[in-house]
Amino acid sequence: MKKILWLATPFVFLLLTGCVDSLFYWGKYEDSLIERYIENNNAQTEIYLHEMITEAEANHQRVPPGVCADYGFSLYQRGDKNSAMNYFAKEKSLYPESIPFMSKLIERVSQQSSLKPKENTQ
Amino acid sequence: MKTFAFLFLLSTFLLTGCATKNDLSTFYAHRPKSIVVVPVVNESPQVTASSVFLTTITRPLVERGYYVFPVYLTDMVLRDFGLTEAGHIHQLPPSKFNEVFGADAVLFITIKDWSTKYMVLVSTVTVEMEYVLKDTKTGEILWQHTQPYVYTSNGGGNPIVALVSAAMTALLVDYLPLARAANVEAFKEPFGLPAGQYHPDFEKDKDRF
Repeated sequence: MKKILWLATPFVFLLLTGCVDSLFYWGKYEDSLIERYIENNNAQTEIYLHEMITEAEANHQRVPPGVCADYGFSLYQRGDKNSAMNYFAKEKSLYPESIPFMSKLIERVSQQSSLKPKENTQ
Repeated sequence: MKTFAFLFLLSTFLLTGCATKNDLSTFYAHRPKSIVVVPVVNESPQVTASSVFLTTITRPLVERGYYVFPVYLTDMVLRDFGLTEAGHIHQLPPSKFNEVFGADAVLFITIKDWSTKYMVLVSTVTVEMEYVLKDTKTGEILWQHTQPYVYTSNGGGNPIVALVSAAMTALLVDYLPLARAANVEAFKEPFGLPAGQYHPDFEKDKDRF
């Protein structure tokens, strides 16, 4: 019995510190911003953000505020407007505080999408 | 009578003692849930300070339990409005940030110091930020704080080697952990921000701030 308790102690400790440590799953969030702001490498930002979202979901942890919006914007920047709008909508459903801002973004991106076929025919 | 005078003196002492803490009555009256961090004003000569700093602000603020708008997207949207100058953005009426982002509060940050001082055997790295949180509906100041963070490295053995390595790392590496630590320090008790709605201490930590 004692042996089991001793074995369990580090795990309990890990669990406890895990809880106190962070309310959200952060993955490589700061790195994603460094790539964007300092290295000017949007492609790497996109990879890090996507990793964060899938890893958080796999671990059943919360994706922090703004990450889905950030990822959506990355997708928008490289022209994937439909996926961008999906991630803006995801941010909205995760965090109601973002609803006014995300709704505006979705509206603007969808207006641009409807213009796109015209641009292509020219 | 003398006892009265003594008590009076004592009570003023106690009261002023409390006053040195941040007055959070306006903060509690508005209770912001969401915060937009706008581009920072950089008063230091280091041009990279603003962007390095901005990469460190989100996590500690989110961990206090607030919804924080994504800093990069915020910056891009403001640029779209022709707002590229942080100094100009800080002069805008706070209601603008409610209109554009729907944010409850706006956080204006000014970098006061971001420097490395080289001496023969040690180099000292300092960062200092001023944080001002304003309500976006009334423009009132909800919270403010100035946070310095200093790191002194002992170069050890060869002073020239120490100088060179300090100079080489000062540009990118040294400031990041300092900025991170300063933010964590700035938002925690007793001078920081009470826990927001996503934090388990929400509405339970009033006595600590």
